[in-house]
Amino acid sequence: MTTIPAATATLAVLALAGLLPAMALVGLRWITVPLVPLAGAVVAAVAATCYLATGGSFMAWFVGLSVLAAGAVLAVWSARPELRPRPVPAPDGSPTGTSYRVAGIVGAVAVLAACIWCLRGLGTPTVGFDARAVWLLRAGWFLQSHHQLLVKMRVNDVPLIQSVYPPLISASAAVAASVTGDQSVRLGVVVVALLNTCALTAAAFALVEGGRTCAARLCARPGPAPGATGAGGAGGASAVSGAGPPTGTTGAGGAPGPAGEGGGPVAFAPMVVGVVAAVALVFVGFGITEPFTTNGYADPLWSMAAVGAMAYGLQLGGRRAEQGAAVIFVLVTGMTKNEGLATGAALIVLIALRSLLAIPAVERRRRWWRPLVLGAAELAAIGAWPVLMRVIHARGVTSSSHSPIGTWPGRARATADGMAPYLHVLVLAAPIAVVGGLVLSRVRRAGGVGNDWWSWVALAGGLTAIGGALVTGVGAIEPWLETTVHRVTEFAALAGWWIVAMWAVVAAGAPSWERERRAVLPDGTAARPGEGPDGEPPPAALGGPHGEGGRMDPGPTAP
Amino acid sequence: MSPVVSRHGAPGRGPGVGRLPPALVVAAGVVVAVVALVGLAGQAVRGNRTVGVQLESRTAHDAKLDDAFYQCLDVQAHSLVTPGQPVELVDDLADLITLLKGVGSWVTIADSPSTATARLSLRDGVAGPGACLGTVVVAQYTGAGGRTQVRVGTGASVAGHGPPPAPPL
Repeated sequence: MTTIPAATATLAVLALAGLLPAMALVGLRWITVPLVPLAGAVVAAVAATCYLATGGSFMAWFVGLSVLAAGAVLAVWSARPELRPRPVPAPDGSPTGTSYRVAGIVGAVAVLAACIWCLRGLGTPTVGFDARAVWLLRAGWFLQSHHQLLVKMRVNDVPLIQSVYPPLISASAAVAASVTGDQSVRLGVVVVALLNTCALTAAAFALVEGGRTCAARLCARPGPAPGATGAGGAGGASAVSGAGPPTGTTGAGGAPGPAGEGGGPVAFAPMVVGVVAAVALVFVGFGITEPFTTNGYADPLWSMAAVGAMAYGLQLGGRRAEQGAAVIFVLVTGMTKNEGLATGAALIVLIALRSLLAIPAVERRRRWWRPLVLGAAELAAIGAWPVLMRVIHARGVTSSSHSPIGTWPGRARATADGMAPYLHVLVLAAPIAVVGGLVLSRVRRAGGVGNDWWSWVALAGGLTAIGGALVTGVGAIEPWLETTVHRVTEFAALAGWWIVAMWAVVAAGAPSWERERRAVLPDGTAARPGEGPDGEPPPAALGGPHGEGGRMDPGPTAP
Repeated sequence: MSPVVSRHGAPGRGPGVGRLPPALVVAAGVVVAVVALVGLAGQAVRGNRTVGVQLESRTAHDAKLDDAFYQCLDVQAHSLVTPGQPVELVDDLADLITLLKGVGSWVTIADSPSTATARLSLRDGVAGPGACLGTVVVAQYTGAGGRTQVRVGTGASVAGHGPPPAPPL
């Protein structure tokens, strides 16, 4: 079997393992497609952890956990049919529905085409140093006996302290080798590159989703609701599927006016800009992470997944599907590399905090525990591997030692100097965020996009975690920086560009916001687009975070 | 961070923002969108160029040479030991890592040196055919009575000298 069929078969197997969990978390949406193999990779990582902890065989664990996860999903769907993913409802024929869907299709095709074009780097069979020395090397270990795996994780004659890093890349490559019988590093590199692309695709598509939601909300004029069924109306179903427009005001007894109806071309601007920005972000992402995206390194995957978690968990509206996508992303982030583990933990805390704050005050007393339990479960999942490393006394488990405190200022300066050349995007992102925050915040809120301060905190958290390790670590700082800083700053750079792109989408909605701002409600009061008469977003404009449609929960808008 | 916006008219609207002239909001929106998109487009062009570097002939040559080198070590090691045969890897740090990169995924590491049936190492600076860029895999077997036998790996070679070009770190 040549590499391309082997890589395709591997992706298919990973997708099979991740299909039902991803559908349960995200539903039937465009982004489910790239998230399915990533969910399968998470299953592989958990299988590697279980194999190392208990024995058996890696593939037995992988198959067993896949079946277990699928069974659990089917059991939940059987017990609670309302949680089943619903088929995409047909467009209602309004311009909003059609344009909303066209934007989704065009965005998906454009992002996919951009990714395929950028994957041309795979034409050169480059294998990175760490890919050969750690990530793909360890894949073979998972296919050896449990005893041999333990030996290789512990014995000091193997001078690879990085073998304690989280297992997702190696586990995915092990699945590839086991399924195809091809243990070449080339296959591993291609599979990792495809997983990287899945993560970047889903993260970039968040801009398409943001643009579509923004356009629909900014033109959501309340009005008569022919056939409106209240909160359980079709609008809610559309929102959960993500394929139809979030025709949000059904819950309030009104229906949004169609985007573009009387709004002119400006009504579509956020959708168009969302698609353009998503495509640009693909090129930007590959540019920042190459050659490591196509040579088997782990840094691009955790960085892109962290951006995806930031996008869906902290910037978009907070619907259940978006929270589900964020779950997959944070697990991928935390199970890929130690830097991702630290950043993923920070993202989990932030997402839980945002979800907690988004619960309406009247319901917070009853539902406060939900985001906390979810966050704790995520932390437990990504924390299992490092705990296991300590339990088995793996070689390379970091001790509590640190560099002398007196050296920290010098190391901090060196770290800042080392990182600066890779973070020039912040020079653009910061003023855009300031102007946006001062002038466009109402447009952002009306468009259903979250406050970018969440993303800035995530970005700062990631940099702090990595910078802290560099400053307090015991390794010589200069060579450490020379060999790693361009890779460990990938998340921060990508996050900066994502923030820039997000503001482009929001800003594109300003003319539409102003035009619709003067819309007059039937009772003669003026309302801003996407907002109720009191100036706040209408109920269910975004759908609820825990199941839209007939069981609409009050959802957050954009904390 | 602006206050949380709740759904039903919760307090906490950002102060003063709503009083900005609508024309200013629109103008700022246009400017921000244009600046952001221009920045994204410029970086996207740079990104596309970066990807293109991967296809340059020099990059491709180095990658193929690197791959051939480690494939050569792999074949030579297979000619010396089987995957289930416990071995000990002995060498200086640089060669040990090179050896691991070539054979570490499948070779069986002995629980202890005494249980190893062979000691694998690299020998550098080997001239002539049968070497991988001047390096060969060497196995040292200790037989009955403490007699030592040394064998050199066979089955593959890569012409040239020195380690392959270092891949990007």
